[in-house]
Amino acid sequence: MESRKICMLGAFATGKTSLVARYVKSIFSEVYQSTIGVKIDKKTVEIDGRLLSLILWDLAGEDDFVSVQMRYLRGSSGYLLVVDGTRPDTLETAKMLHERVVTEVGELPFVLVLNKADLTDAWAIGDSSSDYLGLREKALATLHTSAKTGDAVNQAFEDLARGVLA
Amino acid sequence: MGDESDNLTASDDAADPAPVVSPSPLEDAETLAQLRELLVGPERQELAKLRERLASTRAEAQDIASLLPQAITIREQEDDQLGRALSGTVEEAIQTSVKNNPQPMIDAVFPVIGPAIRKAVSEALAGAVQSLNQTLEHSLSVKSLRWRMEAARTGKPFAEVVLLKTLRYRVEQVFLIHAESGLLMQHVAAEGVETRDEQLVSGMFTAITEFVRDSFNTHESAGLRTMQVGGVTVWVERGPHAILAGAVRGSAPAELREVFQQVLEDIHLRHGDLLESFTGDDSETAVVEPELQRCLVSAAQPGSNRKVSPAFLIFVAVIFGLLIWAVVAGVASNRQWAAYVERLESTLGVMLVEADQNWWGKSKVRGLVSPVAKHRPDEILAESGIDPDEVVQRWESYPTLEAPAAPAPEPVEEEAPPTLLEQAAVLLDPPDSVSLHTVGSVLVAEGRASHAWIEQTLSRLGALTAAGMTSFDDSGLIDQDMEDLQNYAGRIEACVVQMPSGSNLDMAGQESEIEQMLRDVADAQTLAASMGMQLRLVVAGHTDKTGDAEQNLVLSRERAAAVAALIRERLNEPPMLEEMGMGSDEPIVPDTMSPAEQQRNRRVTFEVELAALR
Repeated sequence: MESRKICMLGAFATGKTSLVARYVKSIFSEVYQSTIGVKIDKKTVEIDGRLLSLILWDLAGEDDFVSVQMRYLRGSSGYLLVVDGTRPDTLETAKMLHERVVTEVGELPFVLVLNKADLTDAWAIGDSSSDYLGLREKALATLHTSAKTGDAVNQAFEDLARGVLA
Repeated sequence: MGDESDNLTASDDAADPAPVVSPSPLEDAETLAQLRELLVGPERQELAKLRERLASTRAEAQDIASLLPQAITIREQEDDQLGRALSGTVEEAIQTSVKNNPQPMIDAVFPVIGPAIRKAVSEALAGAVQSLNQTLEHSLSVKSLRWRMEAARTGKPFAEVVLLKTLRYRVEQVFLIHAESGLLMQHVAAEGVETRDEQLVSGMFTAITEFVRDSFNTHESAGLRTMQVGGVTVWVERGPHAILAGAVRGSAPAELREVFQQVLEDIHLRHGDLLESFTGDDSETAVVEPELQRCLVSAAQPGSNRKVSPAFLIFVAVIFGLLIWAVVAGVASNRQWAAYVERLESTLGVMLVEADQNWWGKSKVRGLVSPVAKHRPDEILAESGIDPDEVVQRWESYPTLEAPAAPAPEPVEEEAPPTLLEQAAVLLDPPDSVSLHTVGSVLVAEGRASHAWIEQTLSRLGALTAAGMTSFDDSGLIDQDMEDLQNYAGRIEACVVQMPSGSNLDMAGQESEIEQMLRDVADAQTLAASMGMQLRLVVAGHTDKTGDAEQNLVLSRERAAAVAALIRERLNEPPMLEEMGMGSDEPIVPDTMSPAEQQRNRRVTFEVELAALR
């Protein structure tokens, strides 16, 4: 079976782990993520008749104190760039992370995910934001997801899977 | 040129016999050129090509390229000039290549450098093993001595035996992991090993490796080599494109790491392109699975598959056989002995007192047997199957049974077991003056009997306990000899030899009393001896209160000595005599009485004592 390494990137507390948990049933403890900075899960999907194992590397989120280890992206086929739709600063972090990936690893296909779509009242990212537009232009797809309700979660991963196979 | 002129002339003559017309000079030049082209054109073209080729660098390179391999081969066969000439250039080329991009060189030498390093390490380890061997040879633990015996028995070096004894391991899983992405390329597991999602394990393993490398700032090419948790050790070997990780349960030898290295090198050597172009499809790398299977080795538990020498097996079998024989023989011997004892006990006329079976020496039986016993103990022993030489028998006849003319017991009587009273009657053989009866399990003896019979009876009571007797009541039994002895003693002690006043020791007028006393002493002496005792006669002299006490004491001693002398004189075997002077301390008549009455105090008295015969 074919396998592809996929990374979850984004600022701290954007819902990356919740998205993965919504998508897969994990066998490893989440303690790994806080100790070594990454937790790995797997999801097998069928894309256009092809079975594909997505090996999901859920990296610890970027914040003022913790920097995402780009070393973990080595050999990755693509990534989900997760933004918290209620926190504009996470969009800036996403943009910065994307630039670091391009610099240190190279161009990789990614899907831009605006998470917490269920919190419509607190939504703070406008469609006209330059950062948003810039990332949207480069992304394979841009989706509004909710790990809480499950909206568009599967689609986000499947869009990325389709993109890395293309 | 001469030939060309001749050919031209001949041709002209044959074709046109008309008069010769001289051509113009221009026409001559063209004709000459045409003629030249016809005659030397091909050669000129070849010449031009040669000239062009000589002038062209590319052409030279092509020529050299086509000739160089053959030229090198020829020159190598001739001498080493070429090698020496190229050495500097090659070294410089390698240095430049490594400086610019070391990876191709690393990839190229990886399959070669591994074995070379291993060889060096193996030699170092061989030295270490030799050192270990010497160390162990000086150890004197019980375990090392046992291993040493095994080494001597099997002919193996001692160090090898130690190594074998200490190896217990099993390679449970082997992962081949893409070095860059951490994706699983192939995975094999030993039979029966439960595995979790190997793709996730592979990824997590890579993440941990990255974490360690990042945490401790190790070199990019470095990596985690060993992880140990509990009884599982993960050994990791890294190659340019793939990582081989083996999970080993137990204590694996260092040689196992060499196996891992060799397998990884072989995989790179044979499937390097496959590894380099890996995109995530593990079906493409299925070809490496047989290589990975080579890593699934294990060492059996010590002793589980150890070869045992036939001599040792025979030895164990003999010991085992002897043990079984001993047990069977012991059980059979016990049964035989029990049957023998049971028959002795049930045979009328045989009273078994002691039966002691001895495993390591001669057994013993002891008891009493009646002359009229139906079966003699020797017959019973012979019929029991026991070797008579292995049994010491001590049988004594019933002491008072003197072939009574009693009729042979009826067969019916044999069937009923003898009662306690019957057995007592046979065993003790009481005299007519003694009657025996039982009260429950108590044997009661009443009447008069000789001291010897009573003593013998008491000594035989132990045998009757086997017949069910719990106690022996002899309160109604009178010892006739002892009674007679007491009568003698009473008469002797009642005898008083009167002495006249003063120092006169004349005993005249008392002859009959003295004679009776002497007979009684003699009879008592004889009776006591028959009872195993000795008579001791105390002869005490007395005086009255008249006179000096000191003189009276001396006089009393003289009176005792006179009577004692008389006894010694008159008896052939006199008893032990003790002479005592009592003075006037023990008067039998008080001094208030008349002097005639006090005459009775001047006397000699006797006291009988019995002592055990030495």
